[in-house]
Amino acid sequence: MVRVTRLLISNFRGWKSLDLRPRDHVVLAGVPRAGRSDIVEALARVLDPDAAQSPRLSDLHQELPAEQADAPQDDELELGDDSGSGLAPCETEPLARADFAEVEVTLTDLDPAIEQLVDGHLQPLDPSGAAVESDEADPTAPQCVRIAYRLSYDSEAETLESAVYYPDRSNPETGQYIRVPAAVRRELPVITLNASVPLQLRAGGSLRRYIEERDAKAATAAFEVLRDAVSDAVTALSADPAITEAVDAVLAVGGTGTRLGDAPISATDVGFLAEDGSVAALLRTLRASLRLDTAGPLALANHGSTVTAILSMAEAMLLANVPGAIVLADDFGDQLDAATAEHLASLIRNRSGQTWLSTRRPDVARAFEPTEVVRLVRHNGARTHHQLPQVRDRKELVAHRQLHTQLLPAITAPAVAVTEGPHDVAVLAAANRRYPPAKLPLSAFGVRLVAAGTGGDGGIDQVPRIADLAKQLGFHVVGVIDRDKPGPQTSAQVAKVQQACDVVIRLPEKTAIERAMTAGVAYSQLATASSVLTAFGETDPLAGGATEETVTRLGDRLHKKGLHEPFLDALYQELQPPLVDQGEDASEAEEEQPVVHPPLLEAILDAIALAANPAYSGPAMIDLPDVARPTGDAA
Amino acid sequence: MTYEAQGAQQDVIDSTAPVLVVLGGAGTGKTTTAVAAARRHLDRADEKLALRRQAAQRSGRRTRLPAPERVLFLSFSRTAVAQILDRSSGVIGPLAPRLEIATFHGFAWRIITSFGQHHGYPAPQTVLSEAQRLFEASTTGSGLTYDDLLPVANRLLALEKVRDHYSSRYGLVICDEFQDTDDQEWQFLQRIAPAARRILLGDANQCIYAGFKKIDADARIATAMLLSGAEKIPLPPISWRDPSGTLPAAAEAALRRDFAHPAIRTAADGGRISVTDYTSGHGHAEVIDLVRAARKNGHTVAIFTHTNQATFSLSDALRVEGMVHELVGLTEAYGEALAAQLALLKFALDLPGSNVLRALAIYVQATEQKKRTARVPLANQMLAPATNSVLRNALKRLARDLRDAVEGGEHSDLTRLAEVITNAYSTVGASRGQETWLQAARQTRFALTKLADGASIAAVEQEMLRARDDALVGTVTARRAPIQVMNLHQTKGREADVTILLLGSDEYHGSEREPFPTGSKLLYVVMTRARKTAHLVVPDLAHPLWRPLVAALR
Repeated sequence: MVRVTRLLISNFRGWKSLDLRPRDHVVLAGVPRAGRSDIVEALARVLDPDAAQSPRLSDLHQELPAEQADAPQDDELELGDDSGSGLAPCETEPLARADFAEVEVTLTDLDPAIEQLVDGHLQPLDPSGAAVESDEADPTAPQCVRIAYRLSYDSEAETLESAVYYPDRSNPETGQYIRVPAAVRRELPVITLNASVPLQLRAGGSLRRYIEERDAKAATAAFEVLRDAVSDAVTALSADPAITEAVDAVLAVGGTGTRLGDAPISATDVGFLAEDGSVAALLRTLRASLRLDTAGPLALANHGSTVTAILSMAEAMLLANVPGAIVLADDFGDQLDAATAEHLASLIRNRSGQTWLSTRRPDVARAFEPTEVVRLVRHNGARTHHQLPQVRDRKELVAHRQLHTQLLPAITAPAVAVTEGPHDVAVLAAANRRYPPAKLPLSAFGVRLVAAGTGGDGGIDQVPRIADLAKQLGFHVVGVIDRDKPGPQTSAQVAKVQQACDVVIRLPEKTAIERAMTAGVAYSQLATASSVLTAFGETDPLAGGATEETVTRLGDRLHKKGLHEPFLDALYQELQPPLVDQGEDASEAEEEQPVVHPPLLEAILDAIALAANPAYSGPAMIDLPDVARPTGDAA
Repeated sequence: MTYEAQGAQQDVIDSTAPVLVVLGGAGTGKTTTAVAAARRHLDRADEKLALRRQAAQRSGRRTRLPAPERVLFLSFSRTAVAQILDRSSGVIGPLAPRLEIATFHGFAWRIITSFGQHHGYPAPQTVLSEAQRLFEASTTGSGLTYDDLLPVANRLLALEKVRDHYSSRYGLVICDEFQDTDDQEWQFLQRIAPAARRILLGDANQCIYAGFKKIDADARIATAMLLSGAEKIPLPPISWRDPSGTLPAAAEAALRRDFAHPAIRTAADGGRISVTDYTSGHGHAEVIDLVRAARKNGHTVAIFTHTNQATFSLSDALRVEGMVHELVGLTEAYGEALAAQLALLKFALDLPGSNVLRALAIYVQATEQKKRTARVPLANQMLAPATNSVLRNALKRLARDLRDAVEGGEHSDLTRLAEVITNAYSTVGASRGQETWLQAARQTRFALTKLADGASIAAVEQEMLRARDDALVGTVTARRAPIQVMNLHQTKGREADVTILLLGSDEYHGSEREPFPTGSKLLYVVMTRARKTAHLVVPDLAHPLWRPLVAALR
């Protein structure tokens, strides 16, 4: 079924340049403001004459002149979607705006009807998805057609001009365009979701399109029945004395009725039309109403955005179903709950010829193959796109599978911190949750914690695999590794981790996450916190007294039973200084009191925050020093 | 004109035979009937496709439907068919865009430009005219001669995807005057959408190229009947052009060289066919009188001459009299006039690579040449102006005028430049062919207005070169006019209220002698073009081919 094999963008909105070769379907995900919506809009400008927005000056790429662009930018750390886009740089620094923007789409596997419509513009396609320019192409190569959109600004006339044309025989430099007729573009099986309200009978509505595809003649006949019935009803209304008497009264004022026409007129000469009397106008006025519950029929708009969203998806899928259409959707899933979003995304993916969804929801991305994820990021203000390479062997396949479980939740974060296993994530996340408001949590630094394995399969050897995947998807990658078993084998393992990560944070010697919780914490506090284990049916290793030996045993027990979080909860309670009753000021004072963390955990989190900044320029290996236990401490 | 199928014409429209050979004499409505059959074919195909689409919709399964069918109408003269289509636009109706008309060479050119680019014929390709070939220093890789077009297109059609593309495009291929196809054209015709239906229109009596193209009409018709599923429908010899049957009957007699036949007498006595003598000059004055009389009655006129040279000189004579007319079929002269004017334009704008003298030489060659293989003297002098002082001075003046016209800023006075280029014809000093130059000048003026509107010269150049290629492969139709002038060999498929045949004293009709088995077909053709009156304008001593007819009519 017809699909896009290449999308070329230059100077369109935030994209200075992009050359994207999709594999089957595409789910566009990534950090905020990295150009998801711009890609969907770029495609629509070329492929969907009805859905594309009208061009604006801001569609032309603009950037600071070179000397200012070199200055470091902290884009990666900005919070929220589009929060920074409205902030223009200093007024005194003029922006360099591109003279034109171009989007070129290569389509292949064309329906026979389309192939004939673009007759004369077919080109052979090479295996990479680009049209062949050589004059000696492989005769068996499949055919493709290129269609381009160009927007240019005439600064003298102050007008924007746009053209959709066949680039193979056009030369925009000399102003020669072989334009693609709108009729040809309308024949392209392209459906834009979210474009309109569902269940519309008006021309152009998805439901109307489907009705006509099923049986155009029957549809026309049904609409004519409506027109005739409305016309009859309106005629009867016009003749009703309640109306005619009022109309006559109007005409009687000062002899109005005698002066308007060639001959005097009365109410019998006055009729009414529903809208302009045409079927099209009548259909425009119809709104869908639904009875979903005991509230009875209500207009669609009154049922809330989820109902609207689900129905418009359903319509789109019906249309996408038969011709195997290209489906475009921006911010897919925003109005849907997680389960519905994933379900609909997977339905659309399976039924359409090619799906292009942009989303900020991991649930939507989960409906796609790992190689179909196109992750967009910003580096020093410039947008880039990242895809996983095609799977070549089983090992890669396994690694790709982990994407879904491990990396997808982090898809919108600029950086990930890859730890050895899920316990590390659980502990660090629990500590991180206690950061605000006194300190910024990791999310503020754009970093997301990720485990290399899901349990038994974790460990230092898994870190490079996930780190590699993350790097291929454009993440800034911080590795967090233990240092529990020294030896020559370990140094090879560490080297691999270093190779895969941008920065590696290594815990002190003989330290795994369990010891990281207890390092530098007074025995007395550990002993109290450790007693929480009895509530989970476990014996308390520190019951007989806290020594280095029993604390090590506590660590083993925590690891084996996975009781990190309850212990950490208890430990935090112990660590906080006792509340001093300060009367009415108590709550205020409490807020100002910073949370006390286990010192090594705090050091790890701080190191992650530091290393997560793409501008970080310190050593590639951060070796955390051990923390001494407070002296003179005894259980 | 509303068309209603008569008798056997309806059988042609109703037929679904894979190969349908339709034979009929001049004026029996072959072309219009074929257009009606095309319409019926498309209606049937659309209905079938609509049902399939509906079934696919209802099944909810993905189904790849075929493209809506189109019909290809191949002919030797695009203008002739376009003329008929114009008159019968009611027959094809809204389906007109799906009836594609092309000449054999025009269609071959289309295949080459669509698919050649990536399979051995890199863009930009141009068509090399015969005249150009005589003046090209070396044959560069990117040019194809007229004779290359069909073999190259055949080669491309051998590629699976190219063949498939046209197979899925056309459900029906109609070939006009198929009895005139030579082996190469016939083979080409078989390769376009091989599975599509064929309607082959022919008339053995109208094969006027037999000697010239080495073809045998009867053998061709027999070959066609051997195609699988071939059926034949002869159209009865009633002329819709001349329902009285007077002219067709006389033409039939002339074809048999039965000049004593009463039909010829009847036509002459009824004023349907007449002879006008001329004793001096070229007969231009006599032709002009006849044209004037016909136009006074609101009749359309077609004038036939025996050579391209004669066509050019008559055209010039008509121009002097202010008679707007259309020159049919002089594609090479027109195409090279465009190229020459482009060169003048580039020279005026002081752009590199104008090669203005060579372009003018090629134009002169195209209008003046008598034989395809020899350069004409004026064209040679154009390349070496020192050998002809008058020409040299004229060229110098032209150069000055061109540069003066654009003096004072770029594109400041494009109107004046257009005028200089239009008038450059007199400088060139060719003895004939002004009409083609002026036809080209219209195109050039149009290009200049685009230039004035801000288009780049590169864009204008490309457009003019494309127009030239289109002219050379015969896909261009000149501006329609009620008076048309053409070579005898362009007459097929055309009609007019009044026809005028201008015979020369130096005609050449090969080595054939009485009873002129091939030549007589020419008599038949020219006598069947007229709806009302056929005039013969003849010199003292007409060629033996015509002499007995002229005598019988007197």
